[in-house]
Amino acid sequence: MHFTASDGVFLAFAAITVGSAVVVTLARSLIYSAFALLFTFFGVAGLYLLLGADFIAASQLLIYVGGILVLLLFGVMLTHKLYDLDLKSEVTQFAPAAIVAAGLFVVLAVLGFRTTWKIGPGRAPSATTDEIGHLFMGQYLLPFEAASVLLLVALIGAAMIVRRKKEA
Amino acid sequence: MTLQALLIALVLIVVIFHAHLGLFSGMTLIERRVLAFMQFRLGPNRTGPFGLLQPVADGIKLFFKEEVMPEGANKFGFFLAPMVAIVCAFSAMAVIPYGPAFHLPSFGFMPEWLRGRLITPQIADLEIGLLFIFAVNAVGVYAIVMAGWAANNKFSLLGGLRSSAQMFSYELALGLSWVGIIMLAGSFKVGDIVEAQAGPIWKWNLFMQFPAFVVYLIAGTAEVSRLPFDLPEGETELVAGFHTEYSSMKFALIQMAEYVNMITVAVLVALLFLGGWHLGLGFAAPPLVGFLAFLAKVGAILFFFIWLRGTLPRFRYDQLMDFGWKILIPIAAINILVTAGLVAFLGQR
Amino acid sequence: MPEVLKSLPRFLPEIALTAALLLVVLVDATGIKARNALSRLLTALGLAAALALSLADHGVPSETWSGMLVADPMGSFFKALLVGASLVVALAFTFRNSAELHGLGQGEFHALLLAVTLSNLLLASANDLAMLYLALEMVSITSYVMVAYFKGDRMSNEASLKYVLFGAVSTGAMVYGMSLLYGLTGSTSLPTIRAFLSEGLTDQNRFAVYLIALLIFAGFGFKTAAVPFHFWCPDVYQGAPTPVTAFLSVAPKAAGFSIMLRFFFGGLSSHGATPWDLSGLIDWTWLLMLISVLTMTVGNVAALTQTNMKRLLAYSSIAHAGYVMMGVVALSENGARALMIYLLAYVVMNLGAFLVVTLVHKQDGTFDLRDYAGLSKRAPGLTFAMAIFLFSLMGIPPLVGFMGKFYVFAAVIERGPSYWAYGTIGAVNAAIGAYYYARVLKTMIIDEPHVEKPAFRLPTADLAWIAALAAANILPLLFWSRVEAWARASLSIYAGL
Repeated sequence: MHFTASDGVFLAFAAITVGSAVVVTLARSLIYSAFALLFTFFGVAGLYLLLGADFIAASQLLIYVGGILVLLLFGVMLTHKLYDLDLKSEVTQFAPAAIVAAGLFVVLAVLGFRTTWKIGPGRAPSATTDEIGHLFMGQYLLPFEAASVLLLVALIGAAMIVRRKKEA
Repeated sequence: MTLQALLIALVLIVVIFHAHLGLFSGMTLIERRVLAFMQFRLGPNRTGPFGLLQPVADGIKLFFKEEVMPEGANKFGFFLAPMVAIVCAFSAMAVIPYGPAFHLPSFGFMPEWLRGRLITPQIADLEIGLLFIFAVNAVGVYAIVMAGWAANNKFSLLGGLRSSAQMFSYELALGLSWVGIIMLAGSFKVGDIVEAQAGPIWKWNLFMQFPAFVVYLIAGTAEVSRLPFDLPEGETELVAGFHTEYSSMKFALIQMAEYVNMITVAVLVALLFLGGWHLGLGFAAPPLVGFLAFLAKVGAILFFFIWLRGTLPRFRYDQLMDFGWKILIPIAAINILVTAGLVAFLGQR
Repeated sequence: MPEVLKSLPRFLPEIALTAALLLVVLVDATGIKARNALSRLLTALGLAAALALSLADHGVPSETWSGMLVADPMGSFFKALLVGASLVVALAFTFRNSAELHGLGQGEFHALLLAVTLSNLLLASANDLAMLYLALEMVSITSYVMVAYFKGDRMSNEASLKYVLFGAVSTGAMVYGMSLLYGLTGSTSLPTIRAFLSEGLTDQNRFAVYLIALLIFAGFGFKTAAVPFHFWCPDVYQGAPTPVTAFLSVAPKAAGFSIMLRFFFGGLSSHGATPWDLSGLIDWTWLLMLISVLTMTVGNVAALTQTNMKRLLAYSSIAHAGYVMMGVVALSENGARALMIYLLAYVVMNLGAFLVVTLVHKQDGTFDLRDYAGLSKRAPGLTFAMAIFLFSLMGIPPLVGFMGKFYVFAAVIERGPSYWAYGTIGAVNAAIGAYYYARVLKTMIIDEPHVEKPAFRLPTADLAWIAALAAANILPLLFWSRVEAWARASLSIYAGL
């Protein structure tokens, strides 16, 4: 087994992802966690790109970085700076958490290395957008439509929770 | 990718990058002159002939100004924000074709592989072109949020919050307005979309996708926080919004990012809706003519932006949100519905 | 396109629900005066149509939507059950008789109810991991919102948040398990997965499948409130508006069991000579048996000391999940039938008990068991109905609850001596359960009230619904052979054939 350039790229992205994820969990201030999450998402997007999933990588940036995380920051900033709340996350019960996490890691590592995974035929990286579109309109039509119902309901729910209680 | 292609890409990067820089400094002057003209003033006309050297003077001034670091600011974020802004602003141009493909002339001094080579003035022709621009745009919000938060100033923070909420809301309309033209062209590539508009003038998306054009123009203006959507900076309320505390070169960088974003929007309007380098006459123009037409269109849009600034008052915050969510997004959504139906029954184009 | 045309006729209940959902949203958006009544009417119509359409589906078992869903008799049975439960909730638990929901907007509530029902149906007939995950998330997300419906109320919001957090972790574990399963088998389709696993497993891969089964069970366990994924249950049941609690205690749970059945019987089991000669591809029955024992024991023991009726019923519903799971553990035709019958009984008895709780809360404004003292004198009819529901929950003959317990225990016992200990634990648990249900009855009938309370007014509509639900706990026994025949006729899982 020799070390290829793509291995190096993979390691770099993996390091970004895992490293920033560690910061997310251990940072004392929520705002640092949120900003560190930004890099985690970037790392994951990079991994997608490395796997040839260009559409998913861009969507990842768009949705997680451009959407979800901004909202998260929004919430943290509004409560943190405007209301002088002290949003610190304490590291509590470090030892039990570490033991459980380590145990889980060992189990998953054993699983990962011992299991014979099914490896597909593989293919050269090519544009995926067209294919994804056809799959959504073909094989995965129902999940695609069901997701739209889910989004509608989520929208209703969000509006309902946010709206002030007034009318009958 | 061969070494030759890499070299060409490098040259393209340098050329496009500097073209943007030049256009940016030009725009600062043009904007002031045009605004002055609209307001029956003269504008800066002392530095050099017609004030042409004014941008240089501005640059030198900003360069030598004192760097102010506000007390209690988060240094990391304060430094990072302008960089994020400028990186995101310039990243978008990677997938934009700045003109039609053309053949290099053959000169004696050129190496063999360059003679008559077909060059597309585009750095990277990504399959997901528009999506990439959209994603990079989305990341650009962080610069503003970070700047607003890190400066430890209430006005900055409010500006940052406003700005992110605004960009967030209008990004939706912006993205939705693209869907129609993507469906018509059947591709995310900007180049393909331009080529889909070849032919007579009514093939332009301006006419085929008029609602999308209106939505994009408005959402694009909001996206770059130009008047009447400049609430994040609203100087009467927030001093200068998220960049209140910035000075010297960092201020210049933020300023530059804003202008570059504006230029990008103008370029995209020209490419996506105004037929790009097509003249709309039904025949293919020579590359140089096409390129000039493209530049003229970009110029017209830029002028339109300045014109807006000279004439319209600022929105109120609730009006802004109402307008984005209750008018633009429904229009864009209906446009998608209609376009999808037409494409399904009539085929693309 | 042919696939869509082929699938649509088997998809009518879901279409009816979706249409009703959209209409309710539109009606609510118009802001007309009659919108509340109209949305309720539309919901009832949509659910009734879906119920009729589910019962009317008699086509051959087949995959629909390119293998995303299956249409089979078992799916139809669960669809009818789930839609029926929603219909009862929509009609019996009105905004008028719930003190918590009174005065809140009805449009969203009904839209959410329809959406959860739709997602439940999708979950009950999912045949592909992608669809399964999406449907489960749909059920969860809509449930979160329903729990928070009582907004401005601290408990309701806290309950919703707890629900979200537990849900996120459980579904996270589940989707991780699914990704591993995909990595192992190269497919997300349950029949393909089963076919792959049937070809034999190496010891290493067997270990992986065990872990995968456990991880995926986290999602099902969360939906069915099985130990150790039950922690959200008491708090959510207590914090949510009672109609929502009643709904959550039956519908998503039933949907969770239906998909558990489908996944474990249809995905992780192989059959011998006959379709129902099942054996696990891995020995997952022991895993589920352990969980089942834990679930019923924890539920029953914790319920002993509860004084809040909603919490008590929450722990009781956890315990019942343990009994229902016996049907899965039995891994046989009778096990599946027992599970279905148990769920059928559970829906009517649990909804009945919650309806009584709602009405008492409307009248007296309390969920505290101690305040139920002397209820028999003030409302003898209500007490009598509650007695029927509680006896049914205990499993006393001649009530449907007994039939449910009878079938699951029988299904477990007939598997052989190695299952007898398990059956015994179940019986002991039923005895523990009888104690706290009897305690409720004792309070209502024997205990003297601390303070004199005004006479109990019970509107006719509520009385009718109470009577109907009580009757539903007794009457099915008169034509039991039909009920059993229905369950038997529904014993067909597509992937199991």
